[in-house]
Amino acid sequence: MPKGKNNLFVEPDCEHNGQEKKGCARPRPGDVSRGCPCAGSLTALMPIADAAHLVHGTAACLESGWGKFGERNDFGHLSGYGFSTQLDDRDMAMGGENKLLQSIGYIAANYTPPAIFVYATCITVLSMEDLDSICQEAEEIWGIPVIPVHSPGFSGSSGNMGRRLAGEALMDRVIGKGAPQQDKPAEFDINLIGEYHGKEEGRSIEALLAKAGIRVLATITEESHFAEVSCAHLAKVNMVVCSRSMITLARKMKDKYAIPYFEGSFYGEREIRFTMRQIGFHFGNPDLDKRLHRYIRKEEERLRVELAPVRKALKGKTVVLYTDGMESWTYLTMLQELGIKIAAIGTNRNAQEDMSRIRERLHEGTAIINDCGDNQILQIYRERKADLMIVSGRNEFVPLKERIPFLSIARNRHISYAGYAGVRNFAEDLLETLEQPVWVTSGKRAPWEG
Amino acid sequence: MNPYRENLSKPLSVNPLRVSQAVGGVLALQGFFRSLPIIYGAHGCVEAVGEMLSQHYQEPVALQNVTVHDSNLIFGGSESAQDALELAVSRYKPDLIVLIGTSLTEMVGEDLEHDVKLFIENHSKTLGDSLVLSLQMPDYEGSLETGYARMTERIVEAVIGLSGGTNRKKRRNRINLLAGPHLTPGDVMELREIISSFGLEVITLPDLSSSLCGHLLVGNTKLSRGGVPLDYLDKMMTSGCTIAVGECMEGAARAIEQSSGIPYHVFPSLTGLQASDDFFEFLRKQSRTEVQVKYRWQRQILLDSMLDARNAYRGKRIIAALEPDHLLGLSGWLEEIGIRSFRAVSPSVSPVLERIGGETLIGDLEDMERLAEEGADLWIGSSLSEQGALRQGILFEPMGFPIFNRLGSFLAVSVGYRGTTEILGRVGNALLRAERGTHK
Repeated sequence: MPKGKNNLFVEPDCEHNGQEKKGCARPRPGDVSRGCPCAGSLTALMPIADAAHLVHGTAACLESGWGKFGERNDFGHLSGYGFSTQLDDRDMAMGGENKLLQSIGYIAANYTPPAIFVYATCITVLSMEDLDSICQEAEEIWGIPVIPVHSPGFSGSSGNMGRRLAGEALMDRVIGKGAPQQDKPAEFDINLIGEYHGKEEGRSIEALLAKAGIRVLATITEESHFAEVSCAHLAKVNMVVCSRSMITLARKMKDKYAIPYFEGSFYGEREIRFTMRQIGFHFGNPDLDKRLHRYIRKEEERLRVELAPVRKALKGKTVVLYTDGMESWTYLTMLQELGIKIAAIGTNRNAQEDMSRIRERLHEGTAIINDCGDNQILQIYRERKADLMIVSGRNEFVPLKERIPFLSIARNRHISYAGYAGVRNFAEDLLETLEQPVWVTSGKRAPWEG
Repeated sequence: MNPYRENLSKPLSVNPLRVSQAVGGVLALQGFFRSLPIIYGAHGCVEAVGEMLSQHYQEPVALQNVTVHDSNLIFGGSESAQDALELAVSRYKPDLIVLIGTSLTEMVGEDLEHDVKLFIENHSKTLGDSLVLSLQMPDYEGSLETGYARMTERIVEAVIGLSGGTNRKKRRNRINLLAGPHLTPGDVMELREIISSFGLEVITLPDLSSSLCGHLLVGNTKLSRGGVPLDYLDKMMTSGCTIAVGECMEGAARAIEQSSGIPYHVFPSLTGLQASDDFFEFLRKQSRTEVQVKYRWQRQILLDSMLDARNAYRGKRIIAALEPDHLLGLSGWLEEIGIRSFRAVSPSVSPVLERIGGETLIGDLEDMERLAEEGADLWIGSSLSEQGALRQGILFEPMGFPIFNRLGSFLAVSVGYRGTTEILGRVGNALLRAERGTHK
């Protein structure tokens, strides 16, 4: 492992950093396709919705990160746009540098974005294009930031690597560049760095913090404006939300701007309480502390009353999770708080951090299966006589085709599970899913099947 | 000039309309029983293809990967390819495997054909009758339609190679149906039913109607969930004729004709009165059987609903962004009912574009928005284009691929008299909704 100054495999703030580095793992073939770093960078940065995002590669490179959910349309005039140089075989042979420069020009002239992010891909790295100098040239010509993101598909085996590389691009080229806006001084400004589930959750988290008197300055990797992200260095505290993929960014901001950071999540009462207390601790303001305390108590009390009937109905139910990444641990606390037994967790593409976070949150008696096959999870579901399967991503077809009751916590859902309202939503979704008559009717035999 | 470049007047693609070839290839393979596509590319290539197909069909999709890692780029990836093939064969025993190359493997210079040959040599005993093929499907050219057609052609050629036999006895009452990618599983089902009603036996390939139609027969599996069985394909060489639906399927039909002398007939589309009349007339002659009463009724109903719908369509300006064959079909029946103008954007070049009534350009969704700015009453396209329609404030009607967040769109029928009646109603209702302005 090279000891270069910018080695993303070395992260002093990561608990696994002391372990021996494995180097390049040989890819395993099969049905588990891990994420693409380029797609990871795209999903992390595309939410900067007023900037243009130009993928410099062949047609499919943009496909993996754009247009999947088709729902972003009210956040900046370039929200939901995808730009691609769509290299053809001639470009691949002769180089696409000129085309890239022209493309940047086209975007600058027709869309006047505050910045353009340019994404390297497998193809452009192989043809050894000098992305940095083209971006610099473009910047000089059109006078807007043109930011290269170096995360070709083969640079790693997960979207996480892409998110980290996106973080690098932000640290180097975006954060700290923005001038403070006059109407924006506030006492309790924080940044949210990390991931959650789309628009709805972003809004509910911001609303929750606002009630406690805390303002979110920039949401990094979620919907934001370029100007907000470029001013992120003005925040007092950074919160790393759920995913650790951007911990390097938080650590670098701590080193450079002396902004302390903490990790937390908004799923489940205990996690929210912990998060709020961390915020209180970092601001060190007695007034804020009191406010936070009062707020937590009020909300928890309300939830206790409201959820009593749902809790009663859910008590003793057993679930099996077949989820990947952060979805495999973010909901565990909430499930336990609702009195639900977790019989097993099957995961497939988890990083070490995800595994250790699962273990942190679990009591004994839960089977944790890493590299879990479909049949394995089905078997354990049946053995433990579970009532419900919780799945993410394309895993949803496993219980569906076996007519097993399941709740899909996919990324494109329109309901928020974050915050106190999220606990309510989650509990209701669980209960209503369990009670759906379709689990029985879909197993009914036809009259002629005897 | 590269025939596949999008809009030549600009250097880039803004909100691409094009869906890459590999998606079409993987889609076609779902229509062959117990088949397994293996994509050879970076992680993201596989992920995107699987996700897109699963979201559109609301079904799991058979798909495996050989991932290209930086180490492969230096040392070559042949070993990885062997591992992937071996894993697939030992674990799932598929009848048909296709190793699909990407732009990346092409650029690195991986020899997929050699990989497959080597694998077959080393595993001749365990493979049995399983067919293992390779196909390069780089995403720098073509689109879903060409990928689908090329995959079908590749398999047809392999079947021809296996069964050989130009002189096999033909059966007049057996028909090959080459179903193009613009047909939904529901469409294919309808076509099979129509052809069967003439007492003809149908061999459909690819047969999405029994795999991606949504069924619970096989539980959870990693292979394709249905489709035409490989051993059944051998009978294809003894059919009386071949029907290709969609111009892009002509290549496969021609290959069958050249090897076995089975004549083929191409129907560019089977939506619309004239198209349906031609189809029924063809089947009538081929089978020497009369059209069933049921279909005569359906034709009556279609004629009446065309009269009912005339006002909804009159004076309307419709724009569409779809694959070439799909556009040709759409423009055909819209012309039949009578609208003011039809303009379209196609993701890739095709000989059929010239035959589309109205202005057609090769481009992206930015070009589509330009068309919209000139004024339009209805925007037809895939879910990828929905945002553009929203931005332009034009009512959106989903069609093509991919379609997200709509239930049962893959079962919608738009072929034959009944299907034409249905789509006439569907699009007509959208136009009426636009008139009321309820979408804004």
